[in-house]
Parts: sequence; C-alpha cells; structure tokens
Amino acid sequence: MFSYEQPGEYQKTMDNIKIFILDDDETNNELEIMIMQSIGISNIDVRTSGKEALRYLDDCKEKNNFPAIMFVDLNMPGMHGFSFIKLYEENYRNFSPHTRIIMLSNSILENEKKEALKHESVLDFWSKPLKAGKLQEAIAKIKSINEEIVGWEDLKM
Amino acid sequence: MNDTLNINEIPSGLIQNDKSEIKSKLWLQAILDNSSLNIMAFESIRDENGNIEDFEFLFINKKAEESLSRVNLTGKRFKKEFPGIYSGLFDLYAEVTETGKPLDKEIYYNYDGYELWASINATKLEDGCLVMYSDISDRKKAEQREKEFHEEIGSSNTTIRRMLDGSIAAICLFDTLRDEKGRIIDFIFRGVNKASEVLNKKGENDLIGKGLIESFPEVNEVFFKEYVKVVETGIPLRTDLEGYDHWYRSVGVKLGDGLVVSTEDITDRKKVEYEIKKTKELLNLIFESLPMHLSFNKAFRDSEGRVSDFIMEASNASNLKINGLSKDELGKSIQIILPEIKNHPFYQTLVEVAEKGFAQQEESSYYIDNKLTWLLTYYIPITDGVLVAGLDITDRKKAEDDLRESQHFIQQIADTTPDMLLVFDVTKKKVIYVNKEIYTTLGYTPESIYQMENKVFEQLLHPDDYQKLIIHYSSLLYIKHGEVREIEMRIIDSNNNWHWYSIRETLFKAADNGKAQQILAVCQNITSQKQAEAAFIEERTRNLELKRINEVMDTFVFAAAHDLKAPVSNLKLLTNVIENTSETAIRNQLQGKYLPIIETLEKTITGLVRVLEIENDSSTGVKNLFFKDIFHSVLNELSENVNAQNVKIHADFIYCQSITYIESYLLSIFRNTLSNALKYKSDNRELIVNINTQYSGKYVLFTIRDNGIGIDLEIFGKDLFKPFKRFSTQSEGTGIGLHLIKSMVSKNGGKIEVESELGAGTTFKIFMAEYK
Repeated sequence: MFSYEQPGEYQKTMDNIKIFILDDDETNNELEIMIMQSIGISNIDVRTSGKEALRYLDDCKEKNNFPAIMFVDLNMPGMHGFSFIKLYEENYRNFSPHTRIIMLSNSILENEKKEALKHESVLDFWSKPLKAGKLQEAIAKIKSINEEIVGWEDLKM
Repeated sequence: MNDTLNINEIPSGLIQNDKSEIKSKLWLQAILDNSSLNIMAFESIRDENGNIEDFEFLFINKKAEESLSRVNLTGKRFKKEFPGIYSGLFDLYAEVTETGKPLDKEIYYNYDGYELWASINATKLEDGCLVMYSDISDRKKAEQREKEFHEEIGSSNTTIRRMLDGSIAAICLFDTLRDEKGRIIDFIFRGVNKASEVLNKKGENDLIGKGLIESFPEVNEVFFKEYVKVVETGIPLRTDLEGYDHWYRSVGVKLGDGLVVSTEDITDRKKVEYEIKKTKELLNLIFESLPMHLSFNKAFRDSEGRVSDFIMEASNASNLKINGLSKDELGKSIQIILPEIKNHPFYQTLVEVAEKGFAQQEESSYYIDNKLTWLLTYYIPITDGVLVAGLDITDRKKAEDDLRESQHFIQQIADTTPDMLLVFDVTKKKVIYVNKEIYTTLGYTPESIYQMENKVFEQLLHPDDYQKLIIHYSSLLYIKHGEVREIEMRIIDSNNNWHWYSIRETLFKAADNGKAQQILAVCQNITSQKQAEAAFIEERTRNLELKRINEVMDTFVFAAAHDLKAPVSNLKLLTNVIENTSETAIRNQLQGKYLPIIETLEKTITGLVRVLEIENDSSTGVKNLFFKDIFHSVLNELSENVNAQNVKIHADFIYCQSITYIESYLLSIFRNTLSNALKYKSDNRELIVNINTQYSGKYVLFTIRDNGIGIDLEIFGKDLFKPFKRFSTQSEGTGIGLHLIKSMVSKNGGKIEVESELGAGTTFKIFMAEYK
C-alpha cells in the first residue's frame, strides 16, 4: 500500500483510473479483471485482438477519453504486441500523451524487454501473472508523473 | 672388136694419094700405138701345099712390142722369132685366116714359169689376120688365187674352219686393194667366220671378194686407218671400240698383204666390268663411311700350314687412324706394322678365327688418344683371312653405367620412400615391380604380388574401385611423359582390412607406337585422412541435423515456453484471486475455472510431446494405406463437428488410391487439415470442402480446398507453419497442428504449399514422399 496524501484519495484515484487490457487469453483477462477489481479499479476495458483494440482506440479518440494504462500482451495471434504499440504511437499518441503502456508477457527475454522499453509510451515490461501490488505501485508512480505534467484533478479519467 | 677391117673399106682418098698415104699410114700408126690393146696384123706365109707355115708381121703396135719385148718385128716371121713359145696362138691365128671365123677367146699361156692370160680378138685380114688382145693376167691371177684360197680353206682346212666358226670372235681375213700408185684404198674380204657373218649382218658370199668400204661405206675412217697402219707397220692393233650401243675389242694382225682382224663383242663384259667398277666404288664408299674400324687381314701360313702372321690387305680410314697407320703400310705384315701385336689378345683371336673358321665377337677397352674407349669387335673369317670390324661402344657403355647407377639410385629411393612404389605393365595388366613398402603396410611380399600376375588388381582392389580402375585405364593408355593421373582406391591387406590409397601415375615406358607400356605408380596411404574425412562429413551432417533440430527446438522451445507459461500463469492468477476472495459463492465459481486451465495445459504438453515424438521417430510402422479408409476414420472422429454444422465434404481418391506411409502421420494430416477447414469456416455460407489425391512428379499430392474465411498470407504466410502461432482467436487449437504436419511431411522429403484468399477460402497442397 502506498501513502496517499489525503484520506480517500486512494479510492478516488482508483475510481477515476481507466485501464485497458489487450490480451487474447480470455481466462487470463477474466482473472486480471478480478485482481484489478480487488484493489478498487472498476473502469476496465478489454479487447482480445489488435484489430479490436484499434477500433477501441478510435472510439476513445472520438470521445477524447483515453485509458491511463494499457496492458498489452506481447505474443498474440494476429497482431503482435509491438505492432500494436507502434500503431498506437503513430496514430493515437498525440491525442493521449498521458497514456502509459505496460507490456505483459509469459516469457521475459532480455532483448524483448529492451525492445519494449525503447518505445516512448511503454512504462514497463512485466511478466505474467499480474500482481496487484505491482499494479498499485505503478499507478502511484503514474500519478506522481502526471501530477507534475498535468494537474491530476484536471484529468478526465 | 669383131669387125673385120677390110682395107677396101678405107676411104679411097687416104690410099690413092702417096703423101697422104704416108700421112695416113703414120696417122694410123699413131692411133694404134696409143691403144692399150696389143694390136698385130699378120700375113700368112704358105708352103708349096698352100698350108700356112708361118705369119709375117705386117704391123705391130707399141703395146704389143712391149708385151713381146721385141721391137722392129714388122716384116719378121712369127714362128721364126718366137719358136715354139706361141704355137698355140699360131694355130688359132691360122684357123682364123683359113676359116675367116673371128676369134674371141680368153687364153692361158704358160711357158717356163711365164704365165699369160689374154683376151684375144682375131679377125681375118686378107690372107692373114688382125689380132687384138689384152693382157688379163692380173685379173686371172687374182681369180686363180681366190679359187685356190677358197679351195684351201674349203677342202683341206675344215678343222680350222670349224674352229673359226666356233669362235665367238668375228674373224675376218683381208687383202689390201691398192691403187696404181700402190696406196691401200680398200680391204677385200678374203675370209670370214660365222661370227663375222653375224656381226657384219651379211653372209659369206656377200662378203668374200668385196671390199670393206665397198660393203660398209659408213665404216669409220679412223678404223680404216688403223687397219692400214697394221699392214704398213706390221704392229698389231689392239683396241676397244664403241659402236651401235655395243663395245668391241678388235685385234688386227698383219698377214701377207693384208690382215686378220678378230673382233669380239665385249658389251657384256664391259657391262660387267662397269658393274664391278661401280660395285667396287660402292663397297669402297661403304668401307670408308661405315662407322666402324674395318680391316681385312689375310692369313700368312708357315710351311706347316699354321698361321704365323697376317697381312693387312685392306683397311678403312678410321681403322688406320686408331692404329696410327698410314695407307702405305697396307699389304704389309701386321707384326711389322704393329709391333708387340703378337702378345695382344687381339692377335690371339685373329689366329683362332683364321684357324677354326668360326666368327667371334668381343667387347674390350683400349686407351686411344688417352681416352678410355670401349670397342665391340667382330672377327669374321673370309676365305683365308679375317675381316675385323670394330664398333665404338663407349657411349653405350657409358649409358649402361649411367643406367646401372640410376637404377641403383632408383632402387635406393624405392627402398627408403614411405610410399608404396610400383611399376605395372599396362597391356599385361600385372605388376612388374613393387617396393618393400608393400610388405610393411599391406603384408604382401613383392614376390607374391608378381605371382598374382594379371589377377593382382582383381584380388587386391575394392570391387567398386576395380570398376573405377577399368574406366581409368583407358586414360592411362594414352598418358604422355610428364603427365600425371590421380586416383583414389581401397586396397585390401593380408589381414582383410581395407586401406585407402591416393595413387599418382606417370608414364614409365612407352611402346614404339606411343601408347603407354609401363606405368609408375606412387601410392600414398590416406586411410587416416579418409577416415577423418568421413568423420568430418558425418559430423557435418550431424551438425546440420543438429542445427535443424536446434532451429526447430528454438522456435519450439520459445513457443512452448509461452504456451506452457500461459496456463500456468493463469493458474497463479486464479489462485491469487481465490485467495483474495472471501465470498464462498464466488470462490466456488472460481474453482471451476481450474479444470479448463489445466486442460489447456495438458493439450499444450501433449502437443509438445507429439512434436518431439515426430522428431525422434524412425519410419517404423510404414504400410500401404488406402485414402478412403483414412478419410472415413477421421470423419468419424470429427463427426460431431461435421454433422452439427452446415458442412459439405467431398472426397475423391480416384487418381491415387493409396500410399505407403506412416499411418499415424496420414491420420494427422487428414485430421488436422479437415479440422482447420471446419474451424475457419465462414459464418456467411455453407462450408464446402473438397479433398482429392493424385500423383505429382515423384510425390503423392493431397489437396484440400475450403471456402472458409481464408488467411492473409501476406501477413501470416511466414508464420503459418511455426508452432504455436495462431492466426485468429476463432480457433481453440493449440496452434501446433500445421507445424506437426509440416514436420511429418518434410521429414522424408515432402513439402506443403498453401494458397488462400481472405474471405474466399484456403487450399492446402501436401506433397508426400512415399516410403519405400
């Protein structure tokens, strides 16, 4: 647990934070959602293919409402994780400068991690399974970064 | 002159005039004196009975006076002046006077050695006669002589005749024919023999009595002059003449007032002489130009017939030179011209050959001009002498020495080299030399190799290499000096182990026609190299295989890791979530999720094991499989899916009904492709699947076509057969199906091709290589 400056702030943060999961493994997705919910996150969108994810991003763009964190699986049939990230950075990043991507993978090959972190929008590279504690840390970190750049309160989440 | 001269017929003008009578008388006298005839006129003197008892010379010309050697006979009495000597004539004249019958006769008168032949004409002249006669004694004498001569030869000397006729020489006897001045103007043939007739091409009768020039006007003037010279000088003529393509030898000898000429046709002899001369010249040329020292040494025998010395009768220039002799010393005793020769073995041999009559030859060395020279000398007995021919063989000897030396050298090399050296005869196909190395490395003695004769290659070479050798052989036949041929072969040793040899072959000896006769082969044992090579190749093959396996494994492992990890991580998640959930209802629900996750895990592991099985599988379980049967078996398995949905499957195995293959593989192929077609069917239409088999080149082609959703090959083409790559979330598969199929098919040489169009359908073409 991290310290939040004001009481209730935590829940506020968790309430407002919007998460997007891109992974073809549905079982995995179900379980991840449950993990997130268990720490207070309720605003979670899921897509199981890169194609669908891009459509979702179009939607976000339209509504001008992008997720704060996108969890992107590395190995997916159809579009590879990196391909998606590239497309995102090319076409959507401008509209959501605050979005952070965290890559998830079953395997952690050093060169894959390096490759991932090269991308501007990628914050980190985690191996599965997703850990609640780690997620909380990440959220705290993002909050602090975003507070510096943009007023947290101003963000529509 | 038969006419009677009748005085009455003299023109009266002449007689009547006295002056003119005297004149005409003188004139008549002059005419008659000029004549070459003897002219006399007689008047008969009769007795009381009227018989003619004598004649009175009325007239006599000068010639007659000369002949009678009397002058002033006019008025004299015939009988009185010439008592008895001309009595025959007297009677003839009397007859003419009495009878008036003219006389024309040749008479012969002989008195006291005095011969006279006359041709008389007498005519009556009043009571007397006119007599004209010419002396033909000479002619008659000649005729007589001739006759005598002929009779001599013909009758009394037949032997001589026979001898003369038997001679091959043409013998002619000539008498001279002289003119009034006594100069020889021709030669008269008096006698000829048969050969002469032939030579002159005229018969005896045509020649005898005729002149030489008369008969042969073309006779050489010089020739004639020679004859004349013989007669005049008495010096015999001996000359060789050439005429009418023949050669003649003429010998002329004076005989009386003529000569006997004996002419022989010596053409043949001349020819022979010429031939002999030419032969002699040629022999001499040979004698001098032969590169041998030649001499002919005639044996000189003592009183007991033993050879005591030799005379060097002939020697060519080179022989004179090496013995330090000059031409002048030919014909002399060799003991004189070559002192100390008697002690020399050369002399001994000469004697032996001369005595025994058997030829000999010997090689010996001499110091000539301070140089060691080897001579091969032949001693050949000829008549009573010895022909000695010496040939300088110094070079040959030197070559022999060199050869011996080099042979020794070669032998040393052959003995010390670690390589096996051999010389084999190409035509006889046997080894004629091999060095000791063959024993050291292969355990055969050289002798045993030679004994194998032409079976040596058959017995010692690997059968495959023996075949190779047969082909290689033909190139060996035409190998030239300096060329090298190489070949590698296996040779069996005496313990039945094979050794690899690298053999380099060169020409050792060529036959006269240029083809190779003997080949020198240097054989290097490369068994260890070959083994290393084989090991290397084996390793490389292994490495390649390993590499392939590694590649498969890498992809595989990587993919496996991911796909194994996924369910595992899900299990962890699940556990985590359940831990964090207190509500029992949710916990129960969640626990139900374990099983599917574990099943996923199991499927993945099974799939992985399958892949490994295929990699390790050998082709056991190969049998002849009918497509129809496999197809129905797989349909059965998938019956739920097939029947439940809008599916039509057509299968046609008419072009290829069966294949010799591994059953499990074939089942997998059918199962996998069919279930893929079912999985990736389009929602918009009925799924139609077409399956058929046919032969395609060396493969059996299995084609499956569907009208499903298709695959974007541009994007996914390269990943299609990689393990664990799924192309859409639509399927539930493990993603290793296609990878497995590819492994199975490519394992023994087959391949897979894919055609697909998004939204239209996919076609898989599987080229299977049949198992033997």
